[in-house]
Amino acid sequence: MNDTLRYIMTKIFLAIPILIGITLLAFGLGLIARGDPALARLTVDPDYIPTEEEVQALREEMGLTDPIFIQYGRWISGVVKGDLGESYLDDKPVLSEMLRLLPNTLLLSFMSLTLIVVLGLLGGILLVVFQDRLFDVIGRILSIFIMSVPGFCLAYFMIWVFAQKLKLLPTSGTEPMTAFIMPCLALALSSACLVARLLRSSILGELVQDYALTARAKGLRKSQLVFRHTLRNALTPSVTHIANVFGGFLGGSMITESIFSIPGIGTYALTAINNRDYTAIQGYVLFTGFAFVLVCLLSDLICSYLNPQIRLGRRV
Amino acid sequence: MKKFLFYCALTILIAFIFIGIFADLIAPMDPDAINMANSLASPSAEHLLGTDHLGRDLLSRLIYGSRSSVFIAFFATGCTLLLGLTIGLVSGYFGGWADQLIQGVVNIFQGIPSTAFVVAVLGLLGPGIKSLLIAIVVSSWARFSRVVRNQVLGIREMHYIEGARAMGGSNLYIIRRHVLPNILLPLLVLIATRIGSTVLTVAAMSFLGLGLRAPASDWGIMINDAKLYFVNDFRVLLAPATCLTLFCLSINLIADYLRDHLDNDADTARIL
Repeated sequence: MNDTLRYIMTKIFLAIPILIGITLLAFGLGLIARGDPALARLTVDPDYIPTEEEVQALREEMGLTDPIFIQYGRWISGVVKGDLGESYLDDKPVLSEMLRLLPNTLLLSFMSLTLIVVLGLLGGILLVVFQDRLFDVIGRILSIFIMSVPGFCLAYFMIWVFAQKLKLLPTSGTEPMTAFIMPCLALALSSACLVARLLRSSILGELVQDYALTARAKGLRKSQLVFRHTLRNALTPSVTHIANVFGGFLGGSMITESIFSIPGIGTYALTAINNRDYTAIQGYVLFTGFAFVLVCLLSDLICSYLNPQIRLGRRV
Repeated sequence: MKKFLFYCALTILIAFIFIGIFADLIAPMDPDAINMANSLASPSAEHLLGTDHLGRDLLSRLIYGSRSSVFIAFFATGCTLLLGLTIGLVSGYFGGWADQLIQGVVNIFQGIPSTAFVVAVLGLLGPGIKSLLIAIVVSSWARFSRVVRNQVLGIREMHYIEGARAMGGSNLYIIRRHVLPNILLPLLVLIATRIGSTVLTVAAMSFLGLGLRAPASDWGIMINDAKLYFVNDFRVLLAPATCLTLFCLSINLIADYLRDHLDNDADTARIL
């Protein structure tokens, strides 16, 4: 238990500089992008030309003359309290706007995650069980083909088949729930294939180890060997990869969300970029960065649970 | 079987590169010549793949599209490679506090998701191909430098490096003559996957209108153009999508083969 605790603490400790890096990125973005807010505020009225002293006075009042790190500290304390500023576009608070859009992105992410886990694990195990037989060969070629189809091409292909020709599924929106089927497939299919291939190669790597040979010598069938002994050890790379992908999903997929008109975090970022809405972009960078780091942390913990050697600091 | 697929993929990739380089000679028509009277025409002797919604020759646009895709992908990967290679070499070869510092920075850069970088840079500099390239380089150099560093760490302790140093070779000479040639081959896998993912990123961003802009012949833009018309005529979407898929497929097959044959590094094996 002591080792586990120490491992968790180390991982959290290592995540801190990354989180600080993300806040610096977001803060720096706002700093470079915003120009001079004092001047901007004074020149709201086009007829009024402020004197240099007035601008300077307002700068001091707004704290713009303070050293950068004090400004950073002030900004951070605002962020911690949940104040990400207001959007330039419509003056709505960025945080509440993102929280409003979050459920759609979360739903899409979790459904895609489920699809990746189920298809990836199932596919990987089946490929190993049927190793070098017809199923394996066809599966591998098919999976590398699906991996190569870009998500947005797949999305339009599915729209063409399922919505235009067969008229089975709605093309856009979030209602009814069947509208999520195509976006999920577009997001998840290529990652699922990748996970299946990854899992296959790591299980095969475990199968040649001595302990697998021993188990085989005791008379276990291959399927038993895979499920009972090697799967748990072989899961680590797949878990890491799934976490990476899922962390990306949480930031919203700009492409999928815009193709299927799902109002989510991704479309929010897209609008923000197109309108140069810096506070919104700042908020988005912070949000995706933190979500990503937390998911990666979680995946490290899952891996250390799956393979205790990791948390004991041994190289696996 | 694998070898056969590898050579097929390599042929396709080289074909794309040549088509890209000699686009001016190969393309039967001007890719930007608009002919509204002949829009969305079916394939004919004049237009082998038909025309798009503005009457532009689809085949010529595809050919010029491979130029932009191939060029951008190789350029971006080259820049990333240069940056990652330099930093990784310094970090791995010299070690010490420089290594510690660089690894700290690399850790931070690897921990931040690439979408955050892309959105940040695009938001700051405005949408466009230049900011997209910067975003790609900024978000992917860290992995390169990590792989290079791990390779160099292993090579640094070899006897032939010691021998070269004993004979009075300078650091620069040793890096150039002994370290670089030995790490280039393992890097190939990473380079291949990076080229593939760069093509995808650029196509996707151009599709969203954040990369290359509208009249340019690019596969992503062609797909974007097609999205209003593919319902009636699937050909306009299928053509660029096939090219994009074929390109990625060939890259994936090449990377897959290279990995099987060269690679022992766990860090690069993670990618696919």
